[in-house]
Amino acid sequence: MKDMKTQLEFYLEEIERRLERLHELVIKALIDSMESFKNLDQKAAAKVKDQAEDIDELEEKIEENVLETIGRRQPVAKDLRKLSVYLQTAHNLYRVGRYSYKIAHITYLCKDLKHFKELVSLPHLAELAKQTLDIAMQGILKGDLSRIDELEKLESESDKETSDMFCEIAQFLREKEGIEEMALYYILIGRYCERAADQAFQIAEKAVYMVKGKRVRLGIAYKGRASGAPH
Amino acid sequence: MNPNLEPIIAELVKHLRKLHSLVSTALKQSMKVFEDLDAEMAEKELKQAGNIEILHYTIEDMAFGAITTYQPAEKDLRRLIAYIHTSGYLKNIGRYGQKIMEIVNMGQDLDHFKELESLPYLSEIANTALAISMRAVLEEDLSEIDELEKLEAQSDNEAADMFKEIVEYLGNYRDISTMAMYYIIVGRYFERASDQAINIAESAVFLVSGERKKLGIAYEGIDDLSDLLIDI
Repeated sequence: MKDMKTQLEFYLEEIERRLERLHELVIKALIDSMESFKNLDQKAAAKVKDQAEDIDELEEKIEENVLETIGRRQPVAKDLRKLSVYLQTAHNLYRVGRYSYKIAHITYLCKDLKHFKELVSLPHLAELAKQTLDIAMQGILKGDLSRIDELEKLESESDKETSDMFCEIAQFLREKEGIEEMALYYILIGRYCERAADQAFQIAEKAVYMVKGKRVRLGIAYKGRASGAPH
Repeated sequence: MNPNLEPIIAELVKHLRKLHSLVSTALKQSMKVFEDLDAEMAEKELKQAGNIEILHYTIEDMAFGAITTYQPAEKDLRRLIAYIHTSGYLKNIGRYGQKIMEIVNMGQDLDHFKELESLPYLSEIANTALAISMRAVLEEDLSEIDELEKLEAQSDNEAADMFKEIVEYLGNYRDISTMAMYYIIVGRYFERASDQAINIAESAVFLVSGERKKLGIAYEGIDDLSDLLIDI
């Protein structure tokens, strides 16, 4: 019995290591994709696309590990809950990897375009998404929910930034011609960052479920308190 | 199929059909509520949103329970995994419907500045794409998957046209920025619903063939702006 538990722990630790690595890869891809767009750097964008492939592969490996562990070790209660959460967390991280790929692809589509304003909001939104993911993954990997309350503050900051950015872009569109395509890209990338944060919220909800065995819904918009754009 | 799994699979299929029906209704209702800017109806619909989550968690628990108890392999295992993912995607679509209704609650002092055409169309595309992908998962029939790619292209074109139209309005009228932003956000929720439908279809391919395939033009390397819009 002791041996079986050790075996299960061994499998769980291996999956946790891979999840940690996946988290690192995903954060790097997200930040790098934003840098590639900020500098309209085609080489950097191409690298992000390669990183996205690594993310796909690692997610598949984690999924296989989880299923193999469930099949071989027949975990119950908390361990099963942990494995189901790991499976879904890997998938959420993979989705963030896909957004980074798409941001990098927008950089590619911008090869003949220039920015019409200094980029402030978008890098800030990417940073907010990163912080949100970090807090959520701290819950998953360390079982530490102490920063979960910060998520709502980050969400509200992200909503406000998005709303301000849209108003600013609307103003530019009224005053300048020939910027429609780039304006759309700004809005698209902003939404990818928000969606990355959205995935982080799903991860955080799973972290709470894993640690407390309780299902909660996080996010201000749901509670009807948001004053700006919905998440 | 492992005979012990048969009744569980049948029950899961029944739950997934019910979840699909709830989500599809929520999506259609959210469009109606936004079209009419009916805050009262939005409030009422939001109260029922919990049913979707509860059913999703029931499916998830049943599927994981079946994996632990019967240790299925090959296609039996893939089927259960596909059901878990599909249920999660359906729950996400349900949330998009709720978020559209929250927008109606937030925009209580606003009016439409144009007749809505693109948004109802995007909503219809999302529902059709969802119906196709659910048939693929539940009936394990991939014959309609190509149809999804066509729907995706239609959704791309419509979203690009809508953005151009909104830009024109922004140039001509003042004080419509907030509503214009809501149009773009609501449009995206419908596109995201279509995107989740494509994820469900990917699960169907994995279930039936054991292959992991990326469906959808957006992921395959595109050269045109409109191809990206499916996933905005």
